[in-house]
Amino acid sequence: MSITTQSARRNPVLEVEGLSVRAGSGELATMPVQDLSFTIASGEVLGIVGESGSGKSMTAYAIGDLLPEGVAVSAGRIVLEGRPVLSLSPAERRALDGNRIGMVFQDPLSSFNPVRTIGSILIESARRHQQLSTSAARGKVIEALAGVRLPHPELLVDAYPHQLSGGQRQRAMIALALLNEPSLVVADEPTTALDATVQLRILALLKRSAGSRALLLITHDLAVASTVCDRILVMQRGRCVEQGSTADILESPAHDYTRELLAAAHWPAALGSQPQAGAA
Amino acid sequence: MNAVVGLPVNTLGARYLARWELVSGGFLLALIAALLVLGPALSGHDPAFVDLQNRLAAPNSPGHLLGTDQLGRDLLARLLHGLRWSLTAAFGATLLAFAVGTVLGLIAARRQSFLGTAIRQVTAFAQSFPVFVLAICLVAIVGNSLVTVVLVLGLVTWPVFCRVVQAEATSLLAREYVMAAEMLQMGRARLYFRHILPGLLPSLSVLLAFHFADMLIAESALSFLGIGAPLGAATWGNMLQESRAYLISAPWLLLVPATAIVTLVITANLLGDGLRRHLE
Amino acid sequence: MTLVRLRPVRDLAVLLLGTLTLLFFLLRLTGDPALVLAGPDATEQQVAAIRAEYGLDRSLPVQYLSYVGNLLRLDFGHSLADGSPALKKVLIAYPTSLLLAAMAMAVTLLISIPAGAWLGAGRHGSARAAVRWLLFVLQGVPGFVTALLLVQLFAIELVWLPALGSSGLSSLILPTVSVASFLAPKLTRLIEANVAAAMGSPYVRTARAIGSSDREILWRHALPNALLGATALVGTQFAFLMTGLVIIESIFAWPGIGWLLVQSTTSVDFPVVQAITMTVVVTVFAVNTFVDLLQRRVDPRLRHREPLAPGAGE
Repeated sequence: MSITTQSARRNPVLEVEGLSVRAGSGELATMPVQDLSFTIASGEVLGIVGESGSGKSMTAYAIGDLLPEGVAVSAGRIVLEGRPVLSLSPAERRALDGNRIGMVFQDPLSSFNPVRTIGSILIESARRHQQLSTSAARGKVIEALAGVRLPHPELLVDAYPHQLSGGQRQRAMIALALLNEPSLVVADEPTTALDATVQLRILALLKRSAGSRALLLITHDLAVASTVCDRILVMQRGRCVEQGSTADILESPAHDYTRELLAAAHWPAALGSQPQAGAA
Repeated sequence: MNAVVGLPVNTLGARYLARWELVSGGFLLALIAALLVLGPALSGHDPAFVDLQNRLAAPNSPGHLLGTDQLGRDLLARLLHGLRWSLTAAFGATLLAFAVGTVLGLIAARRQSFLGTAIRQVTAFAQSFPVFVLAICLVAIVGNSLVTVVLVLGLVTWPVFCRVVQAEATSLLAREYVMAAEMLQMGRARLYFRHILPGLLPSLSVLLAFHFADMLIAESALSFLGIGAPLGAATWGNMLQESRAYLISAPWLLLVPATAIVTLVITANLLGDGLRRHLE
Repeated sequence: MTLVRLRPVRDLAVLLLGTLTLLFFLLRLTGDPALVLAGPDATEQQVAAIRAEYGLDRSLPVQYLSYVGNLLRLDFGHSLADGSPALKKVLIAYPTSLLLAAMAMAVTLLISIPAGAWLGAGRHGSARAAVRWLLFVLQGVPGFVTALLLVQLFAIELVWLPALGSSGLSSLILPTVSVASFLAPKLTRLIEANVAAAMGSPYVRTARAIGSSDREILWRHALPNALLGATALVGTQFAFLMTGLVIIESIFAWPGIGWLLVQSTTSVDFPVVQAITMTVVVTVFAVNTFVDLLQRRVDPRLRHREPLAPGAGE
């Protein structure tokens, strides 16, 4: 662990303690997330890795105030920049969404309203959280689009989602997340829906844009996590199985499940004491 | 909060509702079937028997449970006769539309030919066409009789079934197991009967219920307008039309057939809705 | 659920020809076409004249051609009821129906859009459940039964409104309400479904992620999409509307083409029947084409097809 990371750790942006999420009620209730705890400091990238059903997306939604109907946080604390967010009123909470927290979603095509321009939602966010006039907001939005290396941002502002490619849309989504300079960015499977060649570039963009922010990356792909993250947390069936620095997790995993994930990703360290015939 | 993910929360509620709808619909259906089988004989009167001494008797008069109409004819007897007429017409028309529509729909799904294309064009156009207008013209031209009504309504509404069958059959036929079956050179008849038709059954059964309701309404509307049913015949539409002159003096002449129609339609709607929820 | 894209002129031609052929065969179905066209009270000479005019003494193909030719020249013959030109009779009744249709559509939209939006915006609540049940029951009541009940209540019992005729504004109320009660339940449920689907969509989740309130989401994000999706339904709603018109006009003796249709079919006034049929077919075609054009103009996905800066910025 480097000195920079250590000092950054003294400034936690996001603290999650004992988070539990319940879906449904009564006999049919399930717990997609159970007793989850982690911290992310500014400048740090934490990856939550797990297969589908592990509860990683629910964690992201819980943090982002996006839990679906019938699903709610049943226990634990979420503290953002020193403020506990679960006890906020809806209006106070909404002031944080898009402002102190930026979300990047998996499927950029359906995450943009097909009948409105790309610019419209960005402008809406800028106006709401920076109290700008429409023309001033438009200027900021064009800057933001340029910041994610999109060509002709002044044209893109008035373009519709279907006119852009998948990679371009995801860049726009990242621009939306970063628009109001949040301290935390949560990216839920940001590259899963993209072509392999595009994935790397989007990941690079994310890493670069994270800069001094805290970045929470949700993914099922260990390779993706290893590229971008400083620390990794492994989830299985709603629980944290282990967490640690990327290097530690990849080279000396402590838990069997982690080893299974590594093996599935064809990671050499998974071999450990189990010789596998024909393994590279 | 929006529903991002489908949840078990609602399923229980939906299942109860589906069960309730099917049970109550089934109960009403049984009641109707009993009345159908027993027929006008249940009232002890001949629906066409004119008794001018006993005109416009109110319900609960001696010997006439539902009263008599302007010609002294027993309302209960006429109601039950109308039940037979309406059910026969609606059932016949629905079956005819179902048979023709399914066959044509299967053809349209399969053949990338002129016939298939023609069927698709007709079906698409028929969606916005007021077929009731067409039905009126046809019945009026061909003549008033139950058979005419059944034939016309059936032959005018087949696009309803055709559209659904064509869409679903197309997707069923594209599925891999069908291709495998074809490779094994399964006979076409066997293919259709064992794979395609069972796949169509869920949506078709729901459609049958709703279409039945529509045919009920259409038939009674036709006979209300004096089309399809011979003058003086005991059909609900006729009864409604005849009641108009006596709205002040004998409102039950309106209410009896009106309640009957509404009950029957709601029964069909309950069954259709229940089926649809159950199969979702 | 968009219609198969029709190339207007060619398809209008096919449509007209198909309808005319259908009418031609119907006419022959009824027996001697000359008798049907001349009417039951016609004299021998009149029948003979008709026969000559329509070429009914010639061979079948010639008959067909002359029939089609006549109708394409807009010569639909004369009404058996009053001898006036059939097409003229239909065109006179047309605006009357249009008035009722427009009013009813306006009332329907005024009710259905807010109601559908409200129902779709929230899944739960006893108020919403109650309204849904009400709509379910209303859908089970056929339009003409509702009309009769309305007449019974407002015209007979309370004597607030006239039961028949088309004189004066007050006579418009009951027919309008009746047609609206015919259309509104189904349209409300359709809009509700669209709005509910929009509310559950990923782009609404994005809107929530930037802090939009429920009200902003409904008005700015869900409703536009829902209504846009609903334009595809205009065609079917129009068919519904026409059906409703026919029945309601007959109940209220509202002198539009619906009422004319019933009158002329019951008296087998074939010239008028064929005029009405053709008018209806052309109207439906016009509406379909209009809907197509409307969708093209309004839906951005159809309006702008070209990708922007393809490949760049990947």
